[in-house]
Amino acid sequence: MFAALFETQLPYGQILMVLGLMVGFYMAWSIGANDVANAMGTAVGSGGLTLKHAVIIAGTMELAGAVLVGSHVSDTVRNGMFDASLFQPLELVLGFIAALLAAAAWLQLATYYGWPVSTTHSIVGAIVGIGILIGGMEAVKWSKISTIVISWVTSPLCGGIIAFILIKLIQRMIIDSKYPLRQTYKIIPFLVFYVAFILCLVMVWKGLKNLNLNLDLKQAVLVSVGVGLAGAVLSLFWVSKLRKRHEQDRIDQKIEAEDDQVEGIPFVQKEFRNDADPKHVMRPPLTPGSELPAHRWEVRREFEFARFESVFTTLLIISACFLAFAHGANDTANAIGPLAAVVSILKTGQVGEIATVPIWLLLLGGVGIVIGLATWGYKVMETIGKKITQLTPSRAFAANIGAATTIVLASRLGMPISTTHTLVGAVLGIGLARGIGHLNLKMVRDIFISWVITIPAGALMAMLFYYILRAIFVR
Amino acid sequence: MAILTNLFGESPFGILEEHGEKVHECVRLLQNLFDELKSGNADALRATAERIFTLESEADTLRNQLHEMLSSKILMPLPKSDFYNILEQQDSMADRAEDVAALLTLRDMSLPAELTKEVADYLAVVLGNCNLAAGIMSKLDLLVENSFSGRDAQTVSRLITELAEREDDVKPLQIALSRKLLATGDQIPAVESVLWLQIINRLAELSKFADKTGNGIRMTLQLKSSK
Repeated sequence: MFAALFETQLPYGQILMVLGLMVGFYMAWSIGANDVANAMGTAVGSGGLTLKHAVIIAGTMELAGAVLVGSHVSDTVRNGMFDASLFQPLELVLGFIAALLAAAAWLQLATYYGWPVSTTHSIVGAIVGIGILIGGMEAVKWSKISTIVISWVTSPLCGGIIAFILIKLIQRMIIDSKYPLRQTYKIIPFLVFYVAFILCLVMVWKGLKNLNLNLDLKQAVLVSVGVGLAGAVLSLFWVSKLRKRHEQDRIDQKIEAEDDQVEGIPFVQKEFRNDADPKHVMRPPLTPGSELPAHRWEVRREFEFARFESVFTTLLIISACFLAFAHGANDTANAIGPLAAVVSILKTGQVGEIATVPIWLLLLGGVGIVIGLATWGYKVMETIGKKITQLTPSRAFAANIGAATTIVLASRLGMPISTTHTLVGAVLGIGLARGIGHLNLKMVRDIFISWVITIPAGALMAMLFYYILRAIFVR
Repeated sequence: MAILTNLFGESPFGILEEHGEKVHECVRLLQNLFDELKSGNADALRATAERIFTLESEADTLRNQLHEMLSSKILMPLPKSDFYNILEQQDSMADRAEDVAALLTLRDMSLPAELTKEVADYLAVVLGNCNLAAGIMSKLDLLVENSFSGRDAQTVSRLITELAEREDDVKPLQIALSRKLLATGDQIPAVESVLWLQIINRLAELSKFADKTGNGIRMTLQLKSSK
C-alpha cells in the first residue's frame, strides 16, 4: 500500500508528496500541542479528570470529530476558496505546500511572541494569498471568503450568547432556588438530551456518506431527537444513583432536608421599654466567634452547593468531550484540507475535484493531533487547568457547551472558524452574565487585532514560500 | 497558546478576602489589647500593639496590590468604583485599629476603675459590629458565584441591614462613656482623659467603617424589590 501511495504523476512527485505529508503532519501536531488543551483544560483543572485520562479521551474525541464530521470543512479549505481549474497542477501543489508552511511559520512566530493568533485564520489567509498570487484576484471566490470572515466574527458572538443563556438558566433554575440540588437533578436529563441531539444531528444530516448514512434535514432531526431521548433516559439512571448517594451523605452529616426556618436572618429585635425612656437597650453582642443566626439554613445550602458543583464536574467532562469532538471536526481540516488536494493532484496529475477527502487522510490528521497532544499538549492542559480556577465547573460547562455547539454547527456548514476565539467568546459571555470574578480585556483587544493582521500576514508569507518552492522545483 | 490563561488572572475578589482576613485579625487583637491593659501587663500590651502594626501594613500591601490590578483593563461583575469603595472602607478599619493601639502605647495608661464595665461593653459592641462586617465579607465569594443577586444576596442584604441598625447603638454609648469619663474629674490626669477621648472616638469610627464596608457591599447587590 505504501508503494501505491508514492506513485505520482508529476515531476519531483515523491519529494513533494513527502514534503506535503511532513508539513501537513506538522500542522496537525501543532494543533494538538496548542489548541486541544482548551477543550480539556477546564475538566482537568476542576479535578474531575486526571491528565492521562484527559489525553486519552481528548485523543479519541478529536479523532472521532475529524473522521465523522471533518470532511465538510476539509472540502471548503481545499477547493472552496478559489477556482482551482485555473491553475496548473504543479502550481497548485507547490501553492498548497507553501500555504501549509506559511501557516505553520506564522503560528510559530505568534506562539513565540504570545499573540492570540488562530490556526484556522492563518491557513485561510495563506490559501487566499496563494490564490491571488497564482490565479489572480478573479480566481478567488470572494463571496465565500467574505462568508468565512464573517463567520470569524459571528462564532465568538454565538458562543458567547449560548454560554450567556446557559449560565443565566443555571443561575435562575438552580442557584436561585430554595433547593438547588433537587433542581440540579431535574436539569440533567435536559442537558444530556441537548448534547446527544446536537452531536447526532451534525453527524447524520447529509453526513457520514462513507457509511451510507445520508439523511435530509427532517429525517436527521427525527433521528437526533430519538438519540437525544435515549441519552436523557440513560441519564435518569445516573440521577437516581446521585439521589441515593446524596441522601446518604445528608443523613450522615445530619443536615435537614427541609427548612422550618425562614431563610435569612431572624432579626434580633430591639426591645423597647414601656417607660418614656427611649434609650436603646443593647442587643446581644455578636462577639468574635459567635455563630451568626440562620446557621442551619446556610449549612444546608452549603451542602447542596458542594454537591451541585461535583455533579457539574461530571457534566463538565461530558461538555469537554463535546468540545474536543467539535474541535477535531473543525481544525483537522486546517492541516488535512490542503494536504488532501496535494495528494490527489500528485497522484492523478490533474486538478480534478475529488469526491470526498479519503478516510486515511482524516485519520492521519487525527493521529497527528493526538500525538501533538500526547507529547506537548498535556503540559499546556495542566497549565490552563491550574490557572483558570475562577472557572468553576458550572461556569466551565456553560462555556464549553456554548463553544462546542457553535463549532460543531460551523463545521457542519463547512465554515472554518477559530475554536479558541469561539471559546474566548463563550467565556466573555459568562463574564457579562456577571459570573466570573474578573477577565483581562487586554487579551480581547489583541484578539481583535489578530483578526485584521492574520490574513495579510499569512498571505504574504505563503507568497514568499511559494516563490522559494518554485525556484527549487520548477526549472 | 496562552490565550485562555492570559484571559484570567488572580481574582481581585480572592485578594480582597485575604485583605479582609488581615484587617479582621488586626481588629480582633484589640480585645487582647484591652485585656492586657486591664491586667496591667505592659510588655504584653506593647507586643500586641506591634502585632497590630504589622498586620496593618500587611493589609496595606495587599491594598496596593489591588490598586495595581484595578488600574488595568479588566472586566468585573461590578464597577471598579464599587470595588474600590469596599476596599477603602475595609482598609480604614485596620487604620483605626492601628490608631487605637498606637494611642494606648503613647503613655503608660491605666483603665480607670469606675469605667471598666462601660469600656468593656462599648468595646464589645464595636468589635461585635466589626465581626458582623467580617461575616458579611466572608460571603463575598458566594455573591460572586450568584452574580450579586438571588437568594444569597438577600441573606447578605439582611445581614447588612442588621449591621446598620447595630451601628445606631454605638453613638449613645459613645456619648455616655465620654460623659462618664469627663465626670471622673481629677482622678484621671487631664492628659490621659484627652487620650481616652481619642480612643473612644477612634473606636466609634472603627464601627462606622465596619458599617460603611457593609454598605459598600449593599451597593453592589442587584435585588429585585418585588421578591
